[in-house]
Amino acid sequence: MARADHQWMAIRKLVRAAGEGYAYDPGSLYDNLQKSEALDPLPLRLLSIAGGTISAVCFTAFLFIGGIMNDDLTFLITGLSFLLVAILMPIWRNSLAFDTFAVALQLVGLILTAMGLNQMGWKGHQIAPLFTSIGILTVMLTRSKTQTFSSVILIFASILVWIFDADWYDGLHLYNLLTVACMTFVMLTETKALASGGRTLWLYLPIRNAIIISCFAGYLLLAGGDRMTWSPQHWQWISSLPVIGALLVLLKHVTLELLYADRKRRRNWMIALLLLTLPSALNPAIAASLLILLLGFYTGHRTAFMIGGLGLPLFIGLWYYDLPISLLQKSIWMMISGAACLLTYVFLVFSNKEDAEG
Amino acid sequence: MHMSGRHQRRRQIHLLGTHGDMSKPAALHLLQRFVYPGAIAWTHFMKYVLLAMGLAFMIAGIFFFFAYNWEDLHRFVKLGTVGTLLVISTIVSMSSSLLRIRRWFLLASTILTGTLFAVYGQIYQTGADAFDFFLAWTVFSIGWAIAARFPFLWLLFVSLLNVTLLTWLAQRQPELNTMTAFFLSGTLNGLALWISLKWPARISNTTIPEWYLQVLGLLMVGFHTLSTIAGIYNGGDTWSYFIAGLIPLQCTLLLFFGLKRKSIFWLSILGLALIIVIAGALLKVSNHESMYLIVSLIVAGSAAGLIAGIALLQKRWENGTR
Repeated sequence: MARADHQWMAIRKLVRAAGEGYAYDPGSLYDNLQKSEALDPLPLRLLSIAGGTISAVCFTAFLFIGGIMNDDLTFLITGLSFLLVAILMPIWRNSLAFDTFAVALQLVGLILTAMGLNQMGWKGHQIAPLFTSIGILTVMLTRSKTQTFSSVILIFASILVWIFDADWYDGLHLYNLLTVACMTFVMLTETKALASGGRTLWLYLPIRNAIIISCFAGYLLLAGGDRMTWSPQHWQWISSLPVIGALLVLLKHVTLELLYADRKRRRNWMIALLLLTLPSALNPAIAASLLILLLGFYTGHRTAFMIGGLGLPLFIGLWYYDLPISLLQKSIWMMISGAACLLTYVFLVFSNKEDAEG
Repeated sequence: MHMSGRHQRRRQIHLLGTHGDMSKPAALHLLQRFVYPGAIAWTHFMKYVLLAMGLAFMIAGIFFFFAYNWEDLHRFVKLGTVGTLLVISTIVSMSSSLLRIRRWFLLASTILTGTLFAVYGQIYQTGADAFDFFLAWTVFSIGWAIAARFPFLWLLFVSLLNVTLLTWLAQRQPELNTMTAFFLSGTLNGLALWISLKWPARISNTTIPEWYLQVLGLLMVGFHTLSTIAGIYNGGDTWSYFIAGLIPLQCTLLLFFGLKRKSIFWLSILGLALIIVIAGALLKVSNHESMYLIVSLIVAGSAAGLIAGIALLQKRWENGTR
């Protein structure tokens, strides 16, 4: 392959821009680039997850219709060994193609383990912590990015199962606190991950995507759960607190690393951002998607930007059906928030003009 | 820089980090220069977000307020409110000098047109069913969809077309075979995709974003897959042989389109559709437990093979000179 290919040109440009801060061996870098997987394999990852899921469902159907296994211990042992193979397989051979098998095996393993434990009399909230541990263990050991992604989803999903199966609906607030904290931390520490390199960097991208989705899911449950019996009925605003905290952290990054703002302008930005969170006092989900949108824009992250952008109209729409608050209250609150945002907009435009003139 | 360009740069920077030793200042410098938006972009974006959120909350607040005492309002007030909003939004969309604002207000006008029809139907009990409603909405949106040069408006228009066709099939043609019905929906989206690509550049005057084409492609392949599965399980009618020829033809055209565009998205969805159809056909042949095992293995194997093939192709496209 000619070294003049455009991928290599782009890489060379980046290396030049990094200057002295980047130490590497040119020969092995080129070879590694040729061997590494493609830059944007997202459709292939989704394909492996879809293929793996269909395959796992068919395999489970085979086991059940055939009645091959019927006692709890067989379920458990088979399930755990499937999980083990699922972890070992990417270590043995890691490629996008083999991820399909890894996903299928992991899924079948989880289903069988859950069935076995269930027949032994375990409840959902007892199985869930075990699954969280399995997820953490898989993330620590795996060599597959798809499996890292699915395992982080598994970790957070089983925390949700644990909360709901224990009928502890207010625990959703804790879940939201956890995901918002993790998401903000991970998204704002990309530089550290790049500098540390190695496995931390390797894990970074799949973990980040999985955490963004898990965070969104928590707030979706909070916003959409009202018509179900399993939503925290009181103090919805508690879930807004982590979002406001995260927005302040983001603001600190923006003003210090991006705008190099003085104290007065820092204060202006803080007022602007806090006004944006006004509607969140009654509806945390709107604030959460705003946070995801802003984090996505600040870090130039496509997925987060899209999720946040889609979340805003979705959550405003869902709020319409939120019964405990009357339409009049919601209407007034919306108009106040809208007016506050517009005023801040005017304020920002004018303060920037002042800066430009002064 | 465009979001997807940044996405590529980020992946390349991560590759560098994996295969070399990067210092923290260097990492920050690379990210800020090639991936993160600059100070000006951030300020613009924040203003845009404040303006958009302010408008959205205001409009939602007004909307919620009318919904609150909708029952007590006189019919003239109801129609008048929606009508006035429609007129204001259309005037703004025609008079504003900013393209960005013009487009969004035209989108609002299109939505308000539908709202006006719905309110009218509710007040006068016109006896129109869902199909009449969506047909009217679609017909009155055609002009704006063409004039707007705005992918979000096109997407709304295509969804209206789809819903109109689906309600027509459900309410006016209930005896039509499911295979044919889904085939018509799939072909509609295929045609929309084709027209979007062939649309003269001097009329559209805007680059057609990849995600818009991908949504159309997903709808097309999804409906064709449903059609094939429906044909396998429920049997077809006299048109079925014709359809059985046309679906592969359309999908082959899409395959060539994907290869020409050097985009793995199209190959991936076509491959997944093919795998689903094969799995469905095999399970129709036999419902025996061993068949589930066979299907499970075939699906995993073929998905893995497909991924390996596409990944190889993608790597070749990526390394190849432009």
